Amino acid sequence: MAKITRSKLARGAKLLVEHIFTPLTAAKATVQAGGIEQSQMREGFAPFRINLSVPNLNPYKMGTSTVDLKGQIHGIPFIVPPLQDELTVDTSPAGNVGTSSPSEVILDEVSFSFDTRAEPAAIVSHWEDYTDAFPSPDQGKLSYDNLNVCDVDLAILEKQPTWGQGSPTAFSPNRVVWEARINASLDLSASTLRLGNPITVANIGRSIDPFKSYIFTISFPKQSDGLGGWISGNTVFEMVSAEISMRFLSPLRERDFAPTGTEVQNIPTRHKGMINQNQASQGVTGAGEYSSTSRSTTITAPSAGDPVTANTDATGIQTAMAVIDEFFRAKLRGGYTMRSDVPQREQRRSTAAYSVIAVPMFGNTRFGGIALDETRSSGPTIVRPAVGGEPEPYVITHTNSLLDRRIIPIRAPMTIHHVVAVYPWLVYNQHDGNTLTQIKKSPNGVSGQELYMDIGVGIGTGHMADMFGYEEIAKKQIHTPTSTTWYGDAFDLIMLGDFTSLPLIGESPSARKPWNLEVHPIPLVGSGGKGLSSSHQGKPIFVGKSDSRTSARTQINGADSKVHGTEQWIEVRVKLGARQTSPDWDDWVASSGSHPRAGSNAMIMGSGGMWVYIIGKTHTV
Amino acid sequence: MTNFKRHNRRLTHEVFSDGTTIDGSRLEKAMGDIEDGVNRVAKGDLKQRFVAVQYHSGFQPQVYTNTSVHHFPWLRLDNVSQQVFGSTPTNAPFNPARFKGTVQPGIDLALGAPDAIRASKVLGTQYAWTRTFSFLKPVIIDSLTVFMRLDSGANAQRPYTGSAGALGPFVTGTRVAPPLTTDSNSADMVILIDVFNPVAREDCEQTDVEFIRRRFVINDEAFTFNKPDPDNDSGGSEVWDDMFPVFMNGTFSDIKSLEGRIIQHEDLNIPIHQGSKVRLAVVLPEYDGTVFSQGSWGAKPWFINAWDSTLTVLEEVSSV
Repeated sequence: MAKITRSKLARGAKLLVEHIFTPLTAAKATVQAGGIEQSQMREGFAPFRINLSVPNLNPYKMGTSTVDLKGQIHGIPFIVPPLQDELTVDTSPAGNVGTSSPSEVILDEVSFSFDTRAEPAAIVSHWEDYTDAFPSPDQGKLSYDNLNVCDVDLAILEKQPTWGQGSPTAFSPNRVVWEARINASLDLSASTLRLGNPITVANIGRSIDPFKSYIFTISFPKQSDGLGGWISGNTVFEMVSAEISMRFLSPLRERDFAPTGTEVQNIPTRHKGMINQNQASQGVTGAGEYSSTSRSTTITAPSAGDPVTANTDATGIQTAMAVIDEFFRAKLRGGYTMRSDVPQREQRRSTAAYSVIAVPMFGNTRFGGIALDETRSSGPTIVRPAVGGEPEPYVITHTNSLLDRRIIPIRAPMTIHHVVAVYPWLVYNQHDGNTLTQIKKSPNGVSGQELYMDIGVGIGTGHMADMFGYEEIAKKQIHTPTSTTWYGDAFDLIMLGDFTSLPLIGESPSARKPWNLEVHPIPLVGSGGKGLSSSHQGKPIFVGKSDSRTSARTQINGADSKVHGTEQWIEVRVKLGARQTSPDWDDWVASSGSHPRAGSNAMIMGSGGMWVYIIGKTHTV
Repeated sequence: MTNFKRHNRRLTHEVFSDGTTIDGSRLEKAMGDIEDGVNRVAKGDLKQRFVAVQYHSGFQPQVYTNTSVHHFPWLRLDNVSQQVFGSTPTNAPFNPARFKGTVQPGIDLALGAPDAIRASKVLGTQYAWTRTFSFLKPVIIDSLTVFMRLDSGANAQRPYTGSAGALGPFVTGTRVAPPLTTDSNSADMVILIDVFNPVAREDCEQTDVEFIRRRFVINDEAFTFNKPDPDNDSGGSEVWDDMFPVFMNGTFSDIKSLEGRIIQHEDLNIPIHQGSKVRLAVVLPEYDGTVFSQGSWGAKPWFINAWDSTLTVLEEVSSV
């Protein structure tokens, strides 16, 4: 609905009905029809955040191809793609092109914090003096000395995704959107005020391109002397519990609705997201809510020649103004309740906001990534994801896949439009009890040395409940990282750092993987939706807690929801196996003719672990 | 709009009554106010003007029986001279006690003891996983969920059983400090949210604790008491619908369902002021093992379960 307009009452002009009653009638119609749009709101932007929580970070976790730690950088890619209703893409072998003009996204604020035990000190890393004892018996202690080498560089880089390149050649970021440095001596060393932790930079005001990819980077510029080793006497410091929060602003928008019951999956059938569908037209304003008696919402214009009255009859000016005023005194309603219901009557149309939930997977392994190991203790050699013979969780023997799952409670209802996963191949270092080893060999994909990644997002029910179960939201399986069966559908392939930060392929000393970070779209279940994947994905999926009125839902993936509208949490799972069926990590070290094997210390996952982004619309509450 | 009004109207101060003068200027003012109110709706006129933002973190720690590499993000609670590597500046550590409300029977951090004799006074210690948030604008903390995930089923090689040894999940040992009792359920973890004083942002003595759960029986916070069949086959209780990928591998076939302890609080409605520094902390005990048993926690309490922590914050709509 458009904004209301009116004829101004100029000095000496005759008072006409259209000066008063025409605009008031239009205002009433707008409000009653749920027509207040974003363009009519003084504060018409809603914030969303991409919150990244990193349990620990140290320079060895960010190792480059030599143990020289100069230039080490850690990066976490993210994207903010257009939501499905704003996404139009021209697919072409020359590179996909986004042709829609989605709502703007503005980077407003970046904040960064880490745990220093509330002291102006660095936290000693387990890598401190590792040649003497590993892990350091002093790990976790406070180091007030050498704080001056604990500077932190932060940046957000922008990149043209390979999704938009026909034959991808540009793998490196090409623009700095934002950057900042935490100067430890100035910002972290005072006992009474440390502006560097947390550091918050506001009012950035940078536009974010929904068809580009971005990388948040962290580096420690003073943790190396650049000559191939540590500055003598300096402490290796650990960044503990880093919290990165990027706050964006995007215009409020109309929520997803399903007039025919098929446009949105799993939405309550009671209202299907529609505005004012469940109640008859509002004939009176609520009695007792803001007036002692109910007031008719009828605005009756006087006839020509009638006396001008204020409030003694139905055609009074004050009578008409009071109708509009009482809508505002009750406050304009719009959005969802926490139980997925809509207000009895809504006056606002733009009640949805862009939303991102960032979920870390495999994020706190012992050395930052996951590598293959051959057990050397008594008995047969066992090849499996392990370090020094000690396995990763859930991996007991060579036929076990790696597993991880995250639980995110559902609070406010949202509609999920996209799921995106980031897979790292960042080089890192590990210590197996005897030596420091750089993990820099990625799988070469020969037969038997495929890597299968299964990823799924679902909604679950069962917390303090009588039933238990899941419904799938999104899923994907990819395999063989050197093949298009792994990276062919990726939205972006990113090279972070210089070429020495790229992993080798197999045992080859010269062939390197052209990238060390990947962004993969994970299709929603169902069909008929729009996405970034070459695989068709389903339409947006509503997710929200319910009560007896809102548990009845539209179908999801062509069938009734298996959780019957009672979802309580979102669950993300990742499974990594050596092969699809009968996985066997032994095949990764077996000779295979002339093909170099990946072998021991092969990288299964690079430093930092995976990130899964659940992107969609949340709603005003 | 000024705070004081002689009337109870919202959009305009102009109120008309029969028997009084009709003033064209007042009419124009009133209509202008109404037009502005409808065409530029202020956020104060919105009934629902917040959006929920979730801060999620979670991880699977290393296997308990493996050689410990690091215990991050868990850090010791007590800032004392013995916890300093290298030299100690004058008056440091500045925050000997990092949190309020974390005192635990059976653990004595001996913070008040002189350095020379502290070692003889200390009994056990505590570790905290701290997440720090910065809010430049006022927000409302809506909900908090901390999920301590355990592996379902009975496979002896499960990494996350809630216990370091043969004991059940989250139980005490034989030597416990009152009011805990021998071989009973543990009640020795703390979850808190605090806000730093805006004029003393680094002083932990002046924080406001806005939320705290302490001395609660962990095993009473079960994810569910109606446990689903962990291997989800028709041989057990009712088969339930699972999602892809199924959480299992060749060795573990009965860890499919979800189990653990969940501390979840919704509708907290805690207002946080602008420019605030907020901490969310989970505190675990490590008993000395001699005077008081370590119980299920063992010597490495941070390795016995997987973690998921979600803070939901409501932020207002705004202009650019």
